[in-house]
Amino acid sequence: MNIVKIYLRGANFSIRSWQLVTLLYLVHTLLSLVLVLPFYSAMKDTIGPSMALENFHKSFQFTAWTEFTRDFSQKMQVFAGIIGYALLFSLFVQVFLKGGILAMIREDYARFTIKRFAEACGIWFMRFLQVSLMVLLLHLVLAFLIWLPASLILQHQFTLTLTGQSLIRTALIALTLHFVLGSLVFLFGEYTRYILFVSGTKGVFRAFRKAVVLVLKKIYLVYPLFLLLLVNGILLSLAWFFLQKVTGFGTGFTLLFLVLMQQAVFWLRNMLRLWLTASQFYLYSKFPTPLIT
Amino acid sequence: MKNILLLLFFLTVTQAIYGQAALSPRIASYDIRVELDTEKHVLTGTALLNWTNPSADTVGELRFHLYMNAFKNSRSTFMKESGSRFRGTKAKEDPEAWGWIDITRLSLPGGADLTSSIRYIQPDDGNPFDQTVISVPLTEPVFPGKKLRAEIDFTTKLPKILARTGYSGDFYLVAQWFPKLGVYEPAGMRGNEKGRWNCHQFHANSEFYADFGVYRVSITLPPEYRVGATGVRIDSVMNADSNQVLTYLAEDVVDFAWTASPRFEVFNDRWNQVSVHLMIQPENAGQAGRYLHAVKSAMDYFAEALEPYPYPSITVVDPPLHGIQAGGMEYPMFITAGTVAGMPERVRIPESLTIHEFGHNYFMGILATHEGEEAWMDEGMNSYFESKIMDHVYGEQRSVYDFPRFHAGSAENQRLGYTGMSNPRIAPPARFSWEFPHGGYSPLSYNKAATLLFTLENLVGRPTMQEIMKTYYRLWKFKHPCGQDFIHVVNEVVRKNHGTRFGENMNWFFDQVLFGSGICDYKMASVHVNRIRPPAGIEEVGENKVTYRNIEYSEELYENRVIIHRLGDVVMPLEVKIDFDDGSSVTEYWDGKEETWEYRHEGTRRVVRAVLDPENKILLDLNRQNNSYTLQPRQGTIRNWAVNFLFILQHLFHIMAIFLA
Repeated sequence: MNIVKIYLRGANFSIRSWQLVTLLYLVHTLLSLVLVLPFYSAMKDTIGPSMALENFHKSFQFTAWTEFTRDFSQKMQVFAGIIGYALLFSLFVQVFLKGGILAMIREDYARFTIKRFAEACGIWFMRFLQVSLMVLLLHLVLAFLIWLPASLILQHQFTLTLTGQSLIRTALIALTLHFVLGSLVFLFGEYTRYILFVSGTKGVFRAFRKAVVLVLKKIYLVYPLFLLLLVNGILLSLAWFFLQKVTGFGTGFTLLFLVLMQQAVFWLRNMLRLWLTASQFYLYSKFPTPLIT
Repeated sequence: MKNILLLLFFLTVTQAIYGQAALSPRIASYDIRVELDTEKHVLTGTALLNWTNPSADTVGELRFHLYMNAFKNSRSTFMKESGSRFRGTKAKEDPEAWGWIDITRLSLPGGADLTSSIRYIQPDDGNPFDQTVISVPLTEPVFPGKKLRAEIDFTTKLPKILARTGYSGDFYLVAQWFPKLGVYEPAGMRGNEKGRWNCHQFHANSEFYADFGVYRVSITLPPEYRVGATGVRIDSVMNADSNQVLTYLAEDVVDFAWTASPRFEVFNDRWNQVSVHLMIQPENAGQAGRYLHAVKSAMDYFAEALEPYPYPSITVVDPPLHGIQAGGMEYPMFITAGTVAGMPERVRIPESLTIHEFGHNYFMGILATHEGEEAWMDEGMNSYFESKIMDHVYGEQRSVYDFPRFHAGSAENQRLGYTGMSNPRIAPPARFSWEFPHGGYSPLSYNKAATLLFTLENLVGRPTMQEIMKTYYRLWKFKHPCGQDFIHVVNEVVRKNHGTRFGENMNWFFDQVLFGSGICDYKMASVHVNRIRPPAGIEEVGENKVTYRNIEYSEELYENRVIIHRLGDVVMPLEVKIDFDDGSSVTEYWDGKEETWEYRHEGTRRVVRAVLDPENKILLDLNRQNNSYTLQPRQGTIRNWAVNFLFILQHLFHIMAIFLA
């Protein structure tokens, strides 16, 4: 099985699916704007007629920044709570969208209509929500299992032998372990959804067990494809950091340019997400049936 | 005058005794032999104390600090005040972790054994469980100017490192480790009406105060240990047990501390005639250049701003991470800093720590102010110099953090340490350090004190401030000045350079910001521009009533009003800069005394913006954000932040979607 071909097929699908990408982009953007607009208004209110931030575009000013954020922190506390609720709401929206996305991939984007898309979203919502909650739980357990022993080790070392190097080493080992195991949990969740979607079964736990077996048995295919797709995100991030350096602190027209650039990057990021899902779904579709049923 | 004569007498006597020109009165000198048991973390030693009564009083009692008993149990004053914590580290329940000091024998040369007459006293809080100060009644009193020799055997159990002293693994930071005589302050010294022992208990928020003297210390310990200490190593031999015996001599100092670890890497350097030793953890050896550059830069700066460093050596210690509680402390000719492996060069924590701790050698070490009673004179002045050096050497507004889009200078960091307090009114900076409530010690005695000195500098001008500091140092080095001594110098120099421009003296300044706890906050409340309409209605002209009709001004006229409010209690003279729409501007001076002030202008020009204290002189102003007012606000910065926040949120939602949905 050639994962490069699958990877390219995923790319092909995501490029053709600009309407779907735009839809995902708009959903995220609307959710974000609901928070950003009052945030902007609160900032305007905080700064009032003061000129303290006027020269910020020329150079960063620690005093002005600190005094502004200190005054703004009370309002930010309210925002922190709202952001938490918004993330929760967003989780439901994202889970809802997943069924539609998979339907579009399976049908190779043949019949994209909002109605068709929404129907598929509704059908899979409850089952995919269960999967998401299981994945969330596993991520929490994983974090606990990795960072609790790591902090105990550091605490033990701290009384006798802790050095900067051992601190960094322990943190790196824990981070690496977390990344590897966390990505496996992510893959378990993804392939559970594919199994549910393809088989039409309602048994989420059974599908999850199968997904675990599948991912572990075919790790030499599943994981390289995941890493290949991860590279896309890393490259996009690097490109963004480079562009951001060029733009600097935008105000006026440069701010407009910055906004356009940011939104283009985010649109591309949505496309990469589709690329990831499509590629993995194609890989799953290639596996022999007895393995997954 | 009497004190000056006494000082001259001591300088002559000590020069005769030690053969070198004495820099200080050398009132309490020690000759100590000590052995470190690295298995039990115990020091066993004998100290020969030479004390000269510096007063016109007959002294019938000695008082000693036994600092190490602060770590003896959870009932000591130190432990109660700190909640058994110091700098975030909890005192250990492990019995081996506690520290203590016992005097096993205290005798005078004539044979009088005073050991049995030792009693613990608690002059500050009466806590009967505190054993950090002892009183020793003398069988024969010490007459004015006479000497006393005492021989003291002691055993010190070092604690698991807690308050910048103790052991951690095979690392030792040995400080406040021997019975240390208090200071007998003669009448007239530091405002005392009569002579008295100044020997406070060891408090959580308190450092040290001691007489100058000569320390000759021989340390015996296993041969694999590398040792750094106050003073200069004058001898190094192996004894019959194959242990090394290292002897150090330190003259004109107020304390002696040392460190030992087999793991240190040692870097030696020089600054003029001064030997610079860096004892660093191997994993941090790559940062040796940063430490050495920082300490030598500080020496350059102080040589110019005050006087050259007068001692022959300085030792900088980089403690291990597991013993980081030993970091950030000062002793004469010996300082501890701290870093971690991989510390980015753009984060100058090791540099600022090194410069700060080195600076203490001037304030705690040479001026030798009382760190407990007047912490602002040491921590505040030193923080002021630390910030000046940091900003001078590494650049203003980027000396501490130096990233392209996030940078901060040391002076502004000092100010924000004070202005960021949840309640800056809780206490004045001039207060005994153990009396500061609710975490006020550090932001008030370090940050506010430094900021008030920066404000003073901005008011009187840099040349005058430089003259103040030089004069203060020249007059008071090796003499234990108090706050009023410094203020007296300020008043003299300001009066000489500025006449009565700031009033009869600068007491109004210190009364408000050093001895008072009020806050300073001026606010540019509003700017109003109203068009002046031609007159309407009826006016008496002679005996006739005339109605205004169709009067037009040749140009449009405006009434401009700029209103300022004083929100705080502190009064400071201020400048106010007002810009007009034709590009012109005026700068007005306001004495800042009233609770509100108004600028009025009628004419063809319109005010577009106004700024209070445009040159940022009054750094004590708690909120600079309300110091300006514009009628043409520019929203570029917050728009930029808003779009970046949008971008971040979009990604946050997206990342969650990838991992969970």
